[in-house]
Amino acid sequence: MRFSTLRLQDFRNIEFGELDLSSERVFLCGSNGQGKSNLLEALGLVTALRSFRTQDLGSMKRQGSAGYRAFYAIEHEVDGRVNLEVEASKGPRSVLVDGEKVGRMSDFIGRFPVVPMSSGDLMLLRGSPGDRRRFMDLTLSALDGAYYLALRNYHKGVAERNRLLKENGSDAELAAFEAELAPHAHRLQRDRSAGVKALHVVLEQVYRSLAEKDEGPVLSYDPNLEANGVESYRDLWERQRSRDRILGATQKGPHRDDFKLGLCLGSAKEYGSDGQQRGLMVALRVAQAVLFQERLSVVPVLLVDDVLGELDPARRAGFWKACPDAFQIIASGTVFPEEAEAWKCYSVTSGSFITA
Amino acid sequence: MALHLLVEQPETGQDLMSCLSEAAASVRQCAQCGNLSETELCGICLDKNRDITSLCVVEHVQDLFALERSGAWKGGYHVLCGKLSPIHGIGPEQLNMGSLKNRIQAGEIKELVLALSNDIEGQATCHYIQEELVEKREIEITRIGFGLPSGGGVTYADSVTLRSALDSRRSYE
Ligand SMILES: [Zn+2]
Repeated sequence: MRFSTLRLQDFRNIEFGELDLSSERVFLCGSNGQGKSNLLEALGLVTALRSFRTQDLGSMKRQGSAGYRAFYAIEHEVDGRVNLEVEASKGPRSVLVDGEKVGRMSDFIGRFPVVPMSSGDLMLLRGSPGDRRRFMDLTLSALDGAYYLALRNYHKGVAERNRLLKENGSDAELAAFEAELAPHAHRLQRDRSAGVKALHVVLEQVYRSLAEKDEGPVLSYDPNLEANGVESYRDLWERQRSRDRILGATQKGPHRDDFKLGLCLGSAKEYGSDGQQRGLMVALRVAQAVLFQERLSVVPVLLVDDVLGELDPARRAGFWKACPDAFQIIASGTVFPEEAEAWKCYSVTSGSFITA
Repeated sequence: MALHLLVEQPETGQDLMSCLSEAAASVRQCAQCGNLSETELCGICLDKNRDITSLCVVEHVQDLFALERSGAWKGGYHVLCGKLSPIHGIGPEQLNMGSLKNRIQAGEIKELVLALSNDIEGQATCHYIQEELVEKREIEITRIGFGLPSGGGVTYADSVTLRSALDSRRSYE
């Protein structure tokens, strides 16, 4: 897919903005805080209505405004030319595809795949298991709406079970939620295991073209519990009840899963140099994009927020080698790229965009 | 009831307000199934042509209305008035669960169709009914939430969807 137009109203510091994005390469140039990342953030919403910069979705409207509105014209492999609108004011956000309201997130998620790359990605390496889970969950949800539904039901079910644990709920009610949580937990574990393996295969290929000299990347599933089939989750949660009641929360399950991510540099605990880490994050994002392309038969758009400038020249060259030509790339930076003529360039100052 | 008055008897316009308040005052829950009723038992429970040994369990009266409109169900009903949700303070005691237990224990129920929402709370409620109310009794239990659009309960499904969901109902466990 490709973006051809973006129109924004009251989105962060952008009061109103319209951009022609009909180019394979679009570059947004400006000092920090002028609004280029905000624009990429708005483009990033189309995959799952999530921001790649914050989990606080309430903060995206411009201060003092009632809400934001985003309009996207997209060229799509499956759907042809699509007009997409996201509107957020009071109440739940609404999404319109060619004027028709999208009723279920599971039908929307992953239909318009984009992959953001930003320095925040380093949190996938340095941050908590929750950061890595969010990445994998979004990747797998975009690939399969059924995964998204299982995930949502699983999280709701754990929250319901936790309330029962805290309020001395009956064993019968706990058993009811445990029994219905189990198939969702099983599905999450199965899909995470398979998804991580598939992503690792792609990551190895991408990483090799990015940094040939280095050892291979490590990416593997690190489940919180080794359950074997639906029944074993039920048994485990039943056995855990008294302990869980004391702690007032479900201690074990896929909501505590982690993923091992790093570089094979001798010891597994080693993360490598700053340059190696940045290289690995770029490779992971390109791998995510390649996986989307393979599985969804839609070429995702890469949103590159000021990370190419942070790569050393060898890795930057590697990025271009690893990155399939077909990807539309919308990038930002504080200085114009080396081959500026290959890009459609905009200058960004205080939330306004001018063709450069 | 109020809707029925508005739609079917517009000529009683001037008396409408008094009709409505009378109707509101006289409406209560059917003592057996939880449907809206002006009498102790509702019209469905009293209907001799219905097979009351087959019960369709729904969350809300609106779901019952939707099923009635579809014409897809010829048995009786049981309206739970919600689903299990500890977060919202809803346990079995907050639901119309005791009277369902009584109906089951009376031994006259042969089939239960659980038409609850297709989310974790609806599914947990199905499980609870199966394990705590039905126990080892020989009652055929099916869930039809699966055939309906997920997230939305029975109310949101159209007649065709409801009919095919009921026709294709499959045994639970
Ligand atoms: Zn009744």
